[in-house]
Amino acid sequence: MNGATSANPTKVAAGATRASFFQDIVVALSRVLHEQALSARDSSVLSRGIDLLRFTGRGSVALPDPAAVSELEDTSNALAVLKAAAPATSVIDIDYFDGLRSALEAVAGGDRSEEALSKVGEARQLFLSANEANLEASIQDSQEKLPSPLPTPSSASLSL
Amino acid sequence: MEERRALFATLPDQASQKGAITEMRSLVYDARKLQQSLTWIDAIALPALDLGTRYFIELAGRRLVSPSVSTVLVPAFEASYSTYSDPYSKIVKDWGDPATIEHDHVAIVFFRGGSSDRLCSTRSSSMS
Repeated sequence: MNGATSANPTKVAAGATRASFFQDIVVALSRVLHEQALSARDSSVLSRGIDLLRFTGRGSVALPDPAAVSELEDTSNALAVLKAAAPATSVIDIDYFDGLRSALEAVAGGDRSEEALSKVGEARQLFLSANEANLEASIQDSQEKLPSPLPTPSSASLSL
Repeated sequence: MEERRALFATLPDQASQKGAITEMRSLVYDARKLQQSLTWIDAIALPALDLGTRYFIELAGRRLVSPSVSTVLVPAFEASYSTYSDPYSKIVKDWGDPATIEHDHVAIVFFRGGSSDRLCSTRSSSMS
């Protein structure tokens, strides 16, 4: 019946956590791009975002350690959302995620070169796209199909 | 909400503000889904039908519809955001004035999804 297949509270909670986590990374990267001071939360989230990109990159054959990105209740799904949000060309370019991760690490270490900041902008767009994909999934889940019109007593096909 | 409003005011550019709006829209949809799931959790915790009635309904379904029919006990109300609605009110009213029904009654709805795919759902409600 309505809601039965989409309103799994655990799944919903994981999706909500994912949306907030991605946006926190977007905020931190925005502050980096605008040379604003990072709060302790920004720095912490940025570090976890770098960890997530590490799992998505070249060396991602092993399963991620959930404790490494503790905010995410479902790290595997977060990785899947991130990969799906990446530009189509990144499927061919296996260094795409590694490139983003390296740039974030470089900027975190003080590198303000144009190339590094350009990659930071790409990373921000990636997390923005991932959140939009998250929202699309939530909307599609919510638009459940109603059953065909219920029969009125006079048209019921059942005879007792 | 207050925390998110305060944070929005500090966001440095339109891209991050757009991201904040996307996040809030996701959270609103998620809140709606959690609200929907509450009625299902209540239906499991406090079943509307006692076990004997539930067995009778299942037996009736197997005799009247199909030996392999599934019986699903659904919540009496459908929740959405902060509202509750009764999706069965039209059926009940079509059958007769609820005010005239003294005892609890059970509504059985059959959805025909094909020659061998039938779902039987029930609810119990006191209209007295």
